Amino acid sequence: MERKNKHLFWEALIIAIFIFGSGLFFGYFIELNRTSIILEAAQQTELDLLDVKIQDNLLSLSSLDCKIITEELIDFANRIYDEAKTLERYEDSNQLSSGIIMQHKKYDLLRANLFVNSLKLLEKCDRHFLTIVYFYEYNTKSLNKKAEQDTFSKKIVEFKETRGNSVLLIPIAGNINSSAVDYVLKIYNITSFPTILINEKDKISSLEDLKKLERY
Amino acid sequence: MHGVAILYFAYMFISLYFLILALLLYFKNKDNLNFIPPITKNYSLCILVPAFNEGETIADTIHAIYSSNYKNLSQVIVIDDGSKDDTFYIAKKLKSKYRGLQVIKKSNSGKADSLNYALKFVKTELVGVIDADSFPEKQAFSRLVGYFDDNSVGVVTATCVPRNQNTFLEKLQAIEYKVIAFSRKLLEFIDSIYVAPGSLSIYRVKAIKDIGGFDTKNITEDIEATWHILKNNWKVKMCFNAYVTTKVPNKLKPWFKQRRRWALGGLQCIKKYKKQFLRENIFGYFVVPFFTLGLFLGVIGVGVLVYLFIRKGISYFLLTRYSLETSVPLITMHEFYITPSVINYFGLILFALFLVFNLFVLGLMKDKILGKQSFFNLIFYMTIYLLIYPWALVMALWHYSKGKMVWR
Repeated sequence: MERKNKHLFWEALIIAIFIFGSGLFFGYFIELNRTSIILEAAQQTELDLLDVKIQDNLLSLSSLDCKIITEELIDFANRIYDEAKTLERYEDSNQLSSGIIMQHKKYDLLRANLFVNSLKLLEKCDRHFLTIVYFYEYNTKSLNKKAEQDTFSKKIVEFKETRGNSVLLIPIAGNINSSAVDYVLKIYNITSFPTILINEKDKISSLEDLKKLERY
Repeated sequence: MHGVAILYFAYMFISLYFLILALLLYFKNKDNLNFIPPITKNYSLCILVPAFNEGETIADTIHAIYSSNYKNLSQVIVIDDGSKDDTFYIAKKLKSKYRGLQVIKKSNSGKADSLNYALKFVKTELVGVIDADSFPEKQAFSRLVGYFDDNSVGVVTATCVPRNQNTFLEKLQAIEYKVIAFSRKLLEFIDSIYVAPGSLSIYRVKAIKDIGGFDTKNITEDIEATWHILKNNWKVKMCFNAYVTTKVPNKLKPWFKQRRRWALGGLQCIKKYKKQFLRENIFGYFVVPFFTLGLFLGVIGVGVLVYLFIRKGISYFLLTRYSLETSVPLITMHEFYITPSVINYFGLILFALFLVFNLFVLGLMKDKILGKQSFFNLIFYMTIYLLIYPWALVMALWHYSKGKMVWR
């Protein structure tokens, strides 16, 4: 082998490591950027939630319109739902960084908080909307459960699209190791996923019962 | 990070490494790419043509050999390995036309054994092997023999391209052969040509005797002989400008069987030379690991593909079943979105790099005896054709585990 070719193996390795490393760095940067977009949205959502909470508290002090507050609550839930969908898409495509998983947990807690807030609202106002809380297993490995959850999810989305703002839709992951979520699960005796809780009373936990959703 | 993602990254890194190695080899040696050594000595040359049921092509092969402009072609031996067709009679008829043509008929014992048998009759310094369905160009021998001025050269091979380039499969193979020829030439610069194919390779008789002839147990005797020659510290060279055309399979089934045979022979070689792994010379340090890695990655790739395919299949089946049961739409607009992952970006960039590399190779060779290729063929070659090949590896592995070392 000629002298000039002897070191090509190492040279190629160094160049490959450099290019590949740069690619990984760039990829990590893209993922971080996506996480920061979600982080920013989450911060805004936290502020919005605080706003909803304050309005809720003001309700007992003044004569604020229940209808307006309810509409705001549902709008807020819709927004949080859309943001969660974006989060999910980013989560599916992120390979290098894990920061986005923490954001998922944060969104689940925000939604749990929203649910509690809706309960508080209902103590003061009449029910003008249908509350649908969808409990699912986050990152399930079981193909069967995943297919079941996807079917539940599609049904709920279809239902929400048909009913519009008369439905308050709150999806919550039930396995994110949160004491608050665990407590909610305990209160409503939710033992398996996926489960749909309707107006804090009725539950749908099986595919056979999924059609019953249309009755509401 | 997910296990499959790690595997993707590993594949991409390895591909990138070899692409960079190829580019470095090209840029450091591009002045020598078309080097044709001058003939300083007219080495006596004997050509062996092993044939089994090659009645259709044997006459053209012999004509092509005798059309050579090489001055010292002393012997041509056709070995009919127990053909059931008229190969022997066609070749025998040509004896009166061509001086030095010998035709031997023997019972069927395989290509390697036929070559070993014929080696007993060789009286020259160099011996060439040409498949009975291959056709050397007029200048091919003259362009190869000059390499033997270097006493360490054991075998020299040529650029092999398909003779038939009409059907879609043949055109795809034409791309493949061109890329292989270019890569093989690059490997020459690091003394790592891992096969001097049977379509046209010329051996130094001393070298072939040094390795004890062709291994009759190996179904790719050309790969084995090249490995043995490398192991014994002989050099393997290639002349990029010496051409031989060969008949390639025009149907998928014989194509697949051919690839399976190549892979099976490769596995036999890996087993035979496993002790050389990372030892002694470039053969142990690069050729054996490189070849093994190629087979290993191919098989793992198929495994992962099957795993993902089955997983997706089960998922879709369950989802369809549940959707139908619950009257939920199968597909909704919400499912159509593109959020590319880093792996997608990497894959796309790597694909683009390999596309440029292949275009460059095809561009480099378009002025030669080979026709142009359409862009669609190239894309199909890169996305579909190359994906089928690993399946031949898996089948070879299956045959290997069952001990079925058969040619066909």
